[in-house]
Amino acid sequence: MMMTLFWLLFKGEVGKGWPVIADALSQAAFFIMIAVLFPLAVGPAPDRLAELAGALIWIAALLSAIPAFDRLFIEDMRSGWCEQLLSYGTPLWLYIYAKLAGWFVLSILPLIGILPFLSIMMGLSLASLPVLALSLSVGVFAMLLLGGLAAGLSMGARRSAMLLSVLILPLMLPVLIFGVMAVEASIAGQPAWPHIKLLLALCLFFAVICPPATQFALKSAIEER
Amino acid sequence: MANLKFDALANPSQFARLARKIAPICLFGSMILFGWGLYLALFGSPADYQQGESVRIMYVHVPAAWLALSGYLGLGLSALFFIVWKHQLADIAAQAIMPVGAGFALICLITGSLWGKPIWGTYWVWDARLTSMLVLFLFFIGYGALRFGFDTPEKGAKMASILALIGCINLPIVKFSVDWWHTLHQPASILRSGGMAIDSSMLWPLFVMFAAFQLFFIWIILHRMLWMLALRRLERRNQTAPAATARMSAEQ
Repeated sequence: MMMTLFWLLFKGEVGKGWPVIADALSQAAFFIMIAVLFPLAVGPAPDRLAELAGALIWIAALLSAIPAFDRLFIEDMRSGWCEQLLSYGTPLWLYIYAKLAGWFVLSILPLIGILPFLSIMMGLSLASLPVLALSLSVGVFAMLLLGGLAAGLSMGARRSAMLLSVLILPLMLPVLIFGVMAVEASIAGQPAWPHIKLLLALCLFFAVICPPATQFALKSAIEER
Repeated sequence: MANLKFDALANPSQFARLARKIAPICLFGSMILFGWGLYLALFGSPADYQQGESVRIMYVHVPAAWLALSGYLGLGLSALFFIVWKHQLADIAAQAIMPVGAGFALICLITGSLWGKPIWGTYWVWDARLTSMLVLFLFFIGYGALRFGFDTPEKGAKMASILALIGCINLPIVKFSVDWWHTLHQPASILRSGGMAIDSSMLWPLFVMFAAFQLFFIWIILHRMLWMLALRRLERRNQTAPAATARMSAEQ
């Protein structure tokens, strides 16, 4: 029952068609923009770029996810879809999971597609690509969970776009730290698996505490209208 | 769950009566302890054999760090009480703590930075503890941004409480990750050791300053809470009887 509900909501998110695909592509475009800014700022020296490549790609991926959070729940809240779900008795956290899962699937695919090209451009050895892709996937999902929380919390606040970044970034620091350490371990030829496991643990932790908190926030936002 | 005996703590008038009695004691005590502690810190304790006189910043820096951390935990606890038991007093406590905690985190960062210049030769270094304190400061700022991002601080109360709770749960994780980050990226260390083994002649002034700061913190929080309680009562009265208050202010 839960799984069919989740699947229905998930298909609803993904099946919206062009609007969500456009969102995912614009997120990918933003990712490319930021990733290109770094070599322009740091200088073309290949050794320096290769040293910083893992960190820079990670930061670009995380920052490019932030503009999307503003739009996560706003349409559904405004159109009354969330209130409808509540009145049907649907657990909101299921809706939140479905929405985040749909967003993740749509946004991670272009990101991973761009990674090989970015790695070559930044001088990151292609041998580290699987670790980079895996750690980024887990990290972006954790970022989405936190972003959903931040979006729910700032529902109804003024200037919520700026507020979102201020809320997410301190919570995001462990993910960034472990993710970049995984990539750097892989570059240094050491096993990255311990760092990836820590990343997965963090992601799991956020997957447990964030959606209920987001549900509480969305419910409060609905009730206070 | 809501009718656990915590309701006894939640009565605003009872709190106000208790706070009005306790607050002057705290202020008086903290002033005395500050006087004694400052004398001890500046004159009554020895200079460090390596750091010289600049070690005396420690007597402000360390209590500030403790107050910043315990302030954030207090914020989380108040948030928990507000979310679960819906005590209005808990929300007032959280609102009272936030700027004070952030202020002490800032004091810790600035005094640490001033301490660092003569000792390490630089104002800032990405040490594990400094970075953790910076992140704690950002947590406070995030809470404040969320709280005041709404039209009135009361509307943001629930959301900000959730953020405080998540932040408290996250704090150990952030501390752990920053520690690991620092040990893995350890540069040629310009710090001699992770901390000072402290001599008893310095420990006693530190305790006195600790107590002084802690009493000051309690006083300022109680004071702010009393002030906010009065403000909220006034607003409620203004909402329910605007004509009456207009008459009252006209009579004055």
